Amino acid sequence: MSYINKFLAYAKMEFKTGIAYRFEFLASIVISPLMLLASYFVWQAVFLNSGTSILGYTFQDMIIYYVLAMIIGHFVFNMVGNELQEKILYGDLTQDMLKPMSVFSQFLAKTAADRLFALFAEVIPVFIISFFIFKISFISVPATLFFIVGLMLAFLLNFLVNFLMGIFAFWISKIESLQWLLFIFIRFASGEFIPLDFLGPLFFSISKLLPFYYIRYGVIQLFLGKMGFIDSMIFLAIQLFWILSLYLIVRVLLGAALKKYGAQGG
Amino acid sequence: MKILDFFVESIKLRIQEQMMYKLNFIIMMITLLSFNLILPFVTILIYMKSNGFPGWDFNQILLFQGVFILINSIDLMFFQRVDWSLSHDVRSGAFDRYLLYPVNTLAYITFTNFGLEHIADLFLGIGIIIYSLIKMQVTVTLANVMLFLGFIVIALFFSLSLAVIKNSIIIRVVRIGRLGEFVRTLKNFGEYPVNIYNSFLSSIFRYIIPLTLLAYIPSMILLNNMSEKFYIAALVVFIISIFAIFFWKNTLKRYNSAGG
Repeated sequence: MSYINKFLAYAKMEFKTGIAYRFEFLASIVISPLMLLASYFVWQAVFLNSGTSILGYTFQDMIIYYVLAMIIGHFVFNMVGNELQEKILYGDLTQDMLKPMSVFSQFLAKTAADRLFALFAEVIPVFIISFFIFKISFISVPATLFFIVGLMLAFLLNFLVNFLMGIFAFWISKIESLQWLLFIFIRFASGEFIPLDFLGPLFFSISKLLPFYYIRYGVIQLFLGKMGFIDSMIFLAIQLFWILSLYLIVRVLLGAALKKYGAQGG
Repeated sequence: MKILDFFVESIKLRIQEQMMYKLNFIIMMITLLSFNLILPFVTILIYMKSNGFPGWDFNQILLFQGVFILINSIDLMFFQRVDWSLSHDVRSGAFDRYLLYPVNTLAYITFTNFGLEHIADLFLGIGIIIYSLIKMQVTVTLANVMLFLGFIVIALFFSLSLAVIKNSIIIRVVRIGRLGEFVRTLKNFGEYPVNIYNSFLSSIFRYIIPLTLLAYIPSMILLNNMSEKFYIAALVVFIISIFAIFFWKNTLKRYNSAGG
């Protein structure tokens, strides 16, 4: 059985698990528009009081920003850091190590299947509802295509960031609270709550040096058509750079961690 | 055992539990504080880059956020952690044991889920309120303080009632999914001044689901803008509380008669 077949078989199994939780996913159809509705009124009031443009965003741009921030959030979401930590704490990782696929690939297959399910049960319905309620419009075909590629890469990037956080549980046993802290930081630093431009030029420049910028904020800019062709290509290249860099770090650390785990008889 | 004694003992126990992993507790406290600070921080950023909300200047909105953090912290400490464990307890059968304990079941599940981690939010909320009042040089009379505290108690009754209704639904349905998240999302509407919403939503948040109690009304009282209409929200909370108690009792009755 080739690696791809094993990966797909594992993902298929996880996809079926997702179906069992379909109502949890479908709850997003109610909750997400409700969240967006609050943002809609907040920004409507702010724009009515401040003029037609704030930091280059029109009211319509801002609403699209929040809709996309939410949709990207649904698409890239994972809890692999916490799941890995729990498996380490309760010794379940030993079973995973005996399976005919690496621990990393098992997590990736599970997360990919989980998000594929979320794409149909969460991302697309929320997008369609938002499309009609908030009148989302596509800027251009190239911008949309860049966005789709950027979204896929953002999924991988977010997966690697979270997996990396989980690896630290091999050395520090009780890191749940630290993981939550990092989780919140990532959400903020990726621009989930407010466009990163609002943090001011200094923090905005710093945020561009971190991988989180490439998980959400930058991907939204692709959709909004705020980057030209060359800048969009550069953006995707930087996303790839972060993915490869983090993958290498994960490989090195995971190898060392599993060796330590095995030596301790975990 | 009297409920008050039980309350004190439960909190002592929770503190002892948390102190076993001090570092984890401190980081969790910082984490929750950070999370609860995000929306107030976002509001501050909005004010730094725009004119903000109509009719609310920076210090007023700071006061508003302080009031929300204060009420929300008490709500989180006492009422909001229950759904994390209740669904599990009902499924595992542990909830059946709670019904046999010589203490009110609602008090039991509330106090044993006391969230000490939110204590930092409470002090932060008080700090922001005092700071903004000093900055605005508002004269706060004793009558205003008493009225403010009175409406905070009403706001907490409102939160408690919502929590009781939510917990009743959890016991009835068992697998409840994201009901807690739904309620939290709904409450987020109370985190902004009610005048930013359209007249339909504004009326709902004032008189039907009085989310205005979570920050708007107490802030207006501190800003010396008391209105007699605020008492309507108090009346609505009274009705919701009665419904919550009835619903809870009926839920337990159904649970028992179903052989739970």
